[in-house]
Amino acid sequence: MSYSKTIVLTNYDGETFVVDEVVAVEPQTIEHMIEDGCANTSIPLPNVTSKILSKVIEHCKKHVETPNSNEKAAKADLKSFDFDFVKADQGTLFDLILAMNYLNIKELLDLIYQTVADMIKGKTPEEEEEMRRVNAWVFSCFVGVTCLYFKSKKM
Amino acid sequence: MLISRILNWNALIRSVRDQCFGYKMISENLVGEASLHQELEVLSVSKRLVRSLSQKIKRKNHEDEPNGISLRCPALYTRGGGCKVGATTGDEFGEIGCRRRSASSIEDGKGYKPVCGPEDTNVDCFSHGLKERFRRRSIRKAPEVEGVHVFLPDDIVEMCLVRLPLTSLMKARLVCKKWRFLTTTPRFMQMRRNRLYQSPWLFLFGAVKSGFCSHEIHAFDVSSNKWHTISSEVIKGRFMFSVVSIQENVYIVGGCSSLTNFGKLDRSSVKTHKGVLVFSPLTNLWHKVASMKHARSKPVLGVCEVNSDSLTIKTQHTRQDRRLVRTRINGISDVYEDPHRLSVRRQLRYPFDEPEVTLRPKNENPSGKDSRRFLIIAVGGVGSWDEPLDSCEVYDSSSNKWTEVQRLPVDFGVVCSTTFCNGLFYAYSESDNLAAYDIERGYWFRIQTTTLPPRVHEYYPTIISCENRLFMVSVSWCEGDGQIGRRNKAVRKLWELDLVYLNWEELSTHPDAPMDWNTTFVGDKNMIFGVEMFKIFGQVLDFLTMFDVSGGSKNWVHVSRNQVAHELDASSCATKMMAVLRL
Repeated sequence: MSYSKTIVLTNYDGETFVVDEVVAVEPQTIEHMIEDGCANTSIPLPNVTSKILSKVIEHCKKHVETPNSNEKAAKADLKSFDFDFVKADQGTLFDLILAMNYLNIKELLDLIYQTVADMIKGKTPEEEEEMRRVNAWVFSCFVGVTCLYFKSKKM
Repeated sequence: MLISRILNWNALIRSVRDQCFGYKMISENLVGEASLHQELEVLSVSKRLVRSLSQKIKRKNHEDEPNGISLRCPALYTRGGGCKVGATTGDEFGEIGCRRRSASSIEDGKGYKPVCGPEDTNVDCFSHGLKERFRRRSIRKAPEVEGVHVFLPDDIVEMCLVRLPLTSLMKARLVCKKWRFLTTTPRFMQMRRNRLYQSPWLFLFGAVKSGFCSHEIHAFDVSSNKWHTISSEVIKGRFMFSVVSIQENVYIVGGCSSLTNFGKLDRSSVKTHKGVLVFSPLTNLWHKVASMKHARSKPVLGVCEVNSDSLTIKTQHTRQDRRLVRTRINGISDVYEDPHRLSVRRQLRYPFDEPEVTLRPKNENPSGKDSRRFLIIAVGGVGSWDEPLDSCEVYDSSSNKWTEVQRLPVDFGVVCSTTFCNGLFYAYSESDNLAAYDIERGYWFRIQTTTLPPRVHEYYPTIISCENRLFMVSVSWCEGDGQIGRRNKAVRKLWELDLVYLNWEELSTHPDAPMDWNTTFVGDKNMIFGVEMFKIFGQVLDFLTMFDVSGGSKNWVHVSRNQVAHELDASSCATKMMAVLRL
């Protein structure tokens, strides 16, 4: 892109982030907003906290800056960056998922889904249930059922 | 798992009963089944539910009567909001039908512990539970644990779960109903299939244990490097069958079983099968599909997926052709060496008078779930009278029918391998002939390759197709010109046929010495898997190797060594069959 335009993002806490348009169009949601011409002043992102938003912007920047070449070093660098990126604690990861789901960044979404899948992988149902309970993850309903279920199973 | 659910059910019954006691609603008056039915139907509860409930109550009553307690609760289920039961109810009803049978057997065995504790019961009203059953996706309040108010939407959970390998997915299904529900929908399975989250599994058939054809199927999960054993009585006693994998099923075609010693690997008097069995590892279920026209053991199979709905299969059924060569020839002899050249004469007829049968799939697919159509070609094999066959038949999944197609070309030799590549079924014979069958036009034609890879003729080559490329694994001498010498050693080599210039090019050398005469190689997407099994120093060894055709490295990778075969007989080396599935 020849011109450099900046986009202002306003988050949940009311803080504003000024980013290049090149970076800002990484999330599809924002891209669509810009396309629709709603981004003249600032883009409100009411359900993303500043911590997460800064993390997301960091990720987008990294991915934009890294040349889209087949260069091995660049790819490896990006991979290690991604690896460190998702090495957050589960609470952050959880927030990230929600933010990502809203912002719709495909690469990052894929990355996080895979991370969660890896966390689930290799666990026994009991462990998984435990994990879910402690982190209150993925818990949309039937708390009672699950607890009952495993209690009776251990009987 | 089942037991726990039953216990839940019992707990429910108990809690219902306790509630009734608590509400002082015990009535010793006899209120018949009829009134219960009526009241339930007023509430417009499904009849099945009514039945199962009343049966449950009846059984309970029956059980309790000796103790002098009779449960007669007229207003039990009629109080829409008043009757409190465990949160499990709504969901439990969904599967009550299948559980009812086993419930009775368990009931008297276990003591009923009160499962519904105060902290985790989620006491709920019955009608709500019912609503839950009919409208599962009702949105509940997200639970609040440790002050974190979190809630993940179903689609995100689904996207995470879809990335799990099969074994983890199966475990994840046990976590809760929600996950189970999310992961068993056809949409989910389709997504898993399309996004290539599946990993290869190798299924090893035809194991022989202490003289008997074992009912065990050994499955190897490549991603987690683990062997599993599946027991299936269906294929017990059958040997010399061929297997082929299609989507998530394995087709077991033909084979024979001993007539005198059932279950034994005894080739003195055998019945050769026409039947085709389908094994679906995901459900561990077997079913039958249409049988072949001719009984065959060890037929050579190829499979292809067809996209066009209007593909016609040219059949060849004239009267002369129907006649089988019913001569008793020893297993090894070649049909082409019969003095009267029956097969040749048959072959020389002009093919113009062949009737043509168009197999158009019906509009409504019988299976419904998988609309993909595929064809299996079964070539050659050994017939009921131990005669080598040169006939071919094609199975069409959309019509569930086998159709006889043109025989192999004259003087082609005994076919030893076939595969589907670029719209053609390729077949390779023991006498190094390559032919291809065009399904749309319905005939075989010879392919003359410019070069012929030198090979040791005792080992039969295998042709494999991966990513629309045609490969062959054959054994050749490393040095020299094919003469057995002191310094020569045999190696297994992978060749690729250039489909334009038709010459074989050497691609890679297999690291293992060729010990097994019957090594099986199967292609799957971009991988070639091979299993070698042989007896040496009184021990049966097995080696699983893998080759990535798309990768830059030209090396075979060992995926498993000596993990299954040690308890098998040496004859399993000859009877083994392998299929690769993406699960």
